[in-house]
Amino acid sequence: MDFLPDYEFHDIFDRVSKRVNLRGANSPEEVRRRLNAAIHQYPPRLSSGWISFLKRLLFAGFSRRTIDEAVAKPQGKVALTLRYGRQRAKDILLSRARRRLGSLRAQKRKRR
Amino acid sequence: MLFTKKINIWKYYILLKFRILKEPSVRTGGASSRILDTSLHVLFLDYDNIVDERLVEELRFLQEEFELGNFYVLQTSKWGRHAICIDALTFKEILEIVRFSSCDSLFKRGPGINEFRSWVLRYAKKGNRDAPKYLYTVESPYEGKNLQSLGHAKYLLNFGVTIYLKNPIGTEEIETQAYNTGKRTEKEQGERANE
Repeated sequence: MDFLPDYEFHDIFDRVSKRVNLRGANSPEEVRRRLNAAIHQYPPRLSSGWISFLKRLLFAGFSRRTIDEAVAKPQGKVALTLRYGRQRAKDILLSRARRRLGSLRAQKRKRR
Repeated sequence: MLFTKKINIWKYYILLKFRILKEPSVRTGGASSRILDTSLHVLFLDYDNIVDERLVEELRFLQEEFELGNFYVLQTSKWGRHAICIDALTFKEILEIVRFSSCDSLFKRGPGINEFRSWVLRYAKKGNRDAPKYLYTVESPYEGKNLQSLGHAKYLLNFGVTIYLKNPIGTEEIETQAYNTGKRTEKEQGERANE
């Protein structure tokens, strides 16, 4: 890759680093889960298609504040709504919250 | 794909080089060779298109020459192998061993290209290609002679390898890197190796 200048290299391969703590992971499945979770935690970089889409919205007179919000939080509510529509964005946000919080149902205690 | 054109004007040569690079479209992840919070590294080797007999010979030779511990060999494709030795050595020592070996030439230049200054071996799926699988261990009489990375020993548990360390260093954390890569199939890789 000597032919590529550094700044191009960074853009193309978009390499990001993260620490993964494997303490307490005593089975291959748990180690694998933590390692794979680390890959998907990286915030995705804005693609050129997405930027041009936002520019088109801006030139068409779309609210500047909404676009700023979508750029600042690419996985946020506004960005998801612009990209997928209201209903699907809501589903994505709910499923994300479900993953984060777990089930909200009260678990019954076992009777001794 | 590389295209080179040479133009001779008066007493000067003008060399024009064009390179077309396929967009790396697959996101994958790998483990870094660096031991966190230190400048020590473990030894990662990436071999493309190699038979196991030749690989084992080379790894045994490296163990004798540099007094290294066990090598853990992973399979990435039919002829692709990763070799990992969890001995903690300085960057200079690791660089010397990597250059001494016959591993992939681009991999040898890894830390020069990588902005995090480390060698990276993939642990996740890459397009249609599966995650690496553990194959075998090349045992060494020098096992435990050097310091051994605790984080990387724990990382190898991902492949079902349990290691009992004699001389541990570091914490149970490792550095991972996520990056874009080309979606090359095994067939394409074989064709490239035969060129």
